[in-house]
Amino acid sequence: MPGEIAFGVIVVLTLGAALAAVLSRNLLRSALALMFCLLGVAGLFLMQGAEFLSAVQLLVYVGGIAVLIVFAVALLERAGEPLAASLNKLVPAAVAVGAALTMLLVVGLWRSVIAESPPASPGVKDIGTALLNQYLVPFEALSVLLLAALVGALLIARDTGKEG
Amino acid sequence: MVTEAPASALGYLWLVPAAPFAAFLVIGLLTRKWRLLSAAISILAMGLSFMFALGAFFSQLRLGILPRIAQFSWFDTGTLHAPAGLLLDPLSAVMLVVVTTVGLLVQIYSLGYMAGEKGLSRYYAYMSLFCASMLGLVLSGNFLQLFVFWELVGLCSYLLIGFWYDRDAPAFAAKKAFVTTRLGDLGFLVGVVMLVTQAGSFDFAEVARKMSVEAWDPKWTGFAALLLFCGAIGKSAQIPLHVWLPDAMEGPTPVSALIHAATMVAAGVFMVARLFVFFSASPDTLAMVAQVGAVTAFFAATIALVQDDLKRVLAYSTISQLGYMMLALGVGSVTAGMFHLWTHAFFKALLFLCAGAVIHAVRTNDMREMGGLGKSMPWTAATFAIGALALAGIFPLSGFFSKEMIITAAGAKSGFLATLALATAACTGFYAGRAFFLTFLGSSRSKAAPHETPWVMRWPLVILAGLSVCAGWWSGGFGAFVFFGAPEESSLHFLSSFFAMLPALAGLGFAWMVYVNGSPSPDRLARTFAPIYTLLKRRYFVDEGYNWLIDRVVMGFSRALAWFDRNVVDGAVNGVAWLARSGGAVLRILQTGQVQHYAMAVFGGVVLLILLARLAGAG
Amino acid sequence: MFSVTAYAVVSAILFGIGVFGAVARRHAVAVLISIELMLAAAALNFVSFSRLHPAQQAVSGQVFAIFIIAVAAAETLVALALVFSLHRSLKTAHLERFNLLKW
Repeated sequence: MPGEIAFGVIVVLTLGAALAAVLSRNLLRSALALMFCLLGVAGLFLMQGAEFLSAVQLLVYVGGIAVLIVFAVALLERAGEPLAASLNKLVPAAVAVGAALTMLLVVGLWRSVIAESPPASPGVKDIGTALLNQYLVPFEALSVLLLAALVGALLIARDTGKEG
Repeated sequence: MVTEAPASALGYLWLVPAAPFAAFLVIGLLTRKWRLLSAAISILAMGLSFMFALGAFFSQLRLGILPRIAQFSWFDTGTLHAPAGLLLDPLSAVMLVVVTTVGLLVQIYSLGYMAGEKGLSRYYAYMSLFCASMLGLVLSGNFLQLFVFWELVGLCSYLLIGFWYDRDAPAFAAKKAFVTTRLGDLGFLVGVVMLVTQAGSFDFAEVARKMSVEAWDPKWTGFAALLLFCGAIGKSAQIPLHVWLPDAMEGPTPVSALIHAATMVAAGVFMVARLFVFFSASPDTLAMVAQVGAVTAFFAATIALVQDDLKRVLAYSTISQLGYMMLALGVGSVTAGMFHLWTHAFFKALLFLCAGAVIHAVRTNDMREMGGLGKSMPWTAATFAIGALALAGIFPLSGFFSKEMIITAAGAKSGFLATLALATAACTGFYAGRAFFLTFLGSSRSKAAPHETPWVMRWPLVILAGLSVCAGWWSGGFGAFVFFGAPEESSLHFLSSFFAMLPALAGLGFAWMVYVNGSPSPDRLARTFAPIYTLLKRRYFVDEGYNWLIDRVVMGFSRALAWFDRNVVDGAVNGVAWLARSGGAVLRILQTGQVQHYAMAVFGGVVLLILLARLAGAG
Repeated sequence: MFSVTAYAVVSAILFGIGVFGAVARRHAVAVLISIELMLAAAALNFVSFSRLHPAQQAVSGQVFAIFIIAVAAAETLVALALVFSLHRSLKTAHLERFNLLKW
């Protein structure tokens, strides 16, 4: 029973924050809502027994990426951009497509028979082992990717002095 | 029975067509710049040809009537065997003499007539080519060769009619001649194809043999022969394809004399005679030939009565006389038809050359501007008179004998045809006399000062006049030389023959009354018979009829097709292009440059795919 | 709740919301946020379904989720750098204005 209540609360938090992120007029609020949504997702990870993942999510996703977005919003705002109407003309179409997609997925899931099984919860040790054995190459590639992203972002965003 | 003979037995017969052809090549390729040299080469070649033609003729006379043939295989495709070679028999021997004699005389005459002409080399080149082609035609022993030379002769006619190509009238006339004869040649080709494919061979004798051995359906053969006759209708200017010959008078007069009087137009008659075995298979076809010939003869003679242009009178006269020849063939007498061809060639060529001399002297074709030339051009007048009398068929000139032969043959078959022939004879007498009287008698109406022809032009006239006198005296033996089936006896019954001469004499006499004595006067006659006069003067409106037909029917059809091509065919092509362009214009709208639209498309696509997968999985 | 279905449904709804946001928002950063939502939903999905497998294979789902997080970081970095650069030239971050590839 408590598990179910917890589940319900976290789900509401997650989806509510998501909606807020998408529908909010204020960009800053949107960014913050994102933070909360990701927080909720971390909670969902936790509930499924993926503790390590949940921690990583909190540290990196929420604490890194979402914060980065907040910084960006703040900087952009300072550049003099008024936060005007937030939604464009594609709203009805977007609603249609999003709803359709969701419906299809949900209906598909509901119809299918998914076997109930005891939860398998790998520990940190298992993840670490997997990362350095099975997934060694992607793991290393990931570091290269991050390096490339860093350098690339620096190059793109630098002020060459010509524009302005 | 055809006797296969080794080439040597035919001696130098091959030189007869080869010499003028070589002259054509030499003049065309080498000596264009030197006009007199070209003329000399052409005449020399023709002379050579003439000598050997005479040799062949006399050898044929001596050796009898058996044909001799020398053929080699031109190409062989397994199913189709195409021979080429020379066929010498009485028929071709007679034609050889006609073509080479008249050809040589006309070429000599041309030296005088065409003197100073810029394109003289071209003229003699075409002349040589024509003579070579005509000789090749008469020496043909198979359908393929016949057709090739038939077309070549038509080509030369086109080239020579349109010799003065920078003028409109000759150019149009040449085109008209070519197109009109083409129509006839279409039927001719179909007929040839029919016979050749049925027999599996091009050779005349072979096809004839197959026809009798395999007993072909006479109706079918008759139809094929009728198609062959179409070619003759075109080439020999019979009704309804006669319209090109009067216009062909735009060409130089020697050309008219050679091609459109003596030789090429006679090719149709020759062809019917040569292929007579196919015509005789069907009495209906022969009847058709005779009727066409008789009607043409009368019809053309009536038109000749009222023409003012001297050459046109002679042109219609030629059409009329060719009709006589066809009539003779149609009633079954190859002898009569060929004999008339023989005599006609000489006196008609003579008449044309005299006309040329006259035109050369007074600078006009119109007889209303001539007159009194008998005093200043006595030789021309005398020879013209001989030619005119021969044309009218007055004893003892050649025309009398040949025309009498035809009328007798016609009378034996059909009273109607004979009557038509006699009526035509009357007209012939009238217009021949009229031509002579208007041109040479009376007072001079021309502005130019005429002079007698130079000797280079006079000699051919004299020789042809001599031939016009004597050629008829062969009538006794001709029937034993050239015939089909059985030799024809000379049917000279004095009473009936002179009876046959009466209409011509009547015509001559009436012409004398009108044009020399002046009563009744020509104008009064014209007024009295005004509607008939107009009809004749306007040549029965045939040309107008054809023009209407072509303009309305043919051009109308062409215009419809052109419309179809422009709008439907081009429209379809343009339409495809238009489709591509507008398709592109429509699709272009999708390229908004907005990332979110593209993202929309992606997600929408995913939704669709899932739906499809679900449906496929469920179904 | 141990029902995999429930978690999968949640991730589907989250994904749908992200789709809506990605297509319907004007500001570039807002679109980026929506994309983050989609990525999170995907990670959640991976982890949920990984639980169906025995422990040895179950680790793949979480490993992949880690990869997703790392890649999301890199992508956010570059995307923001782009937004900054564009904002510098065109003075706006509204995606509608970036239509130079229109025909």
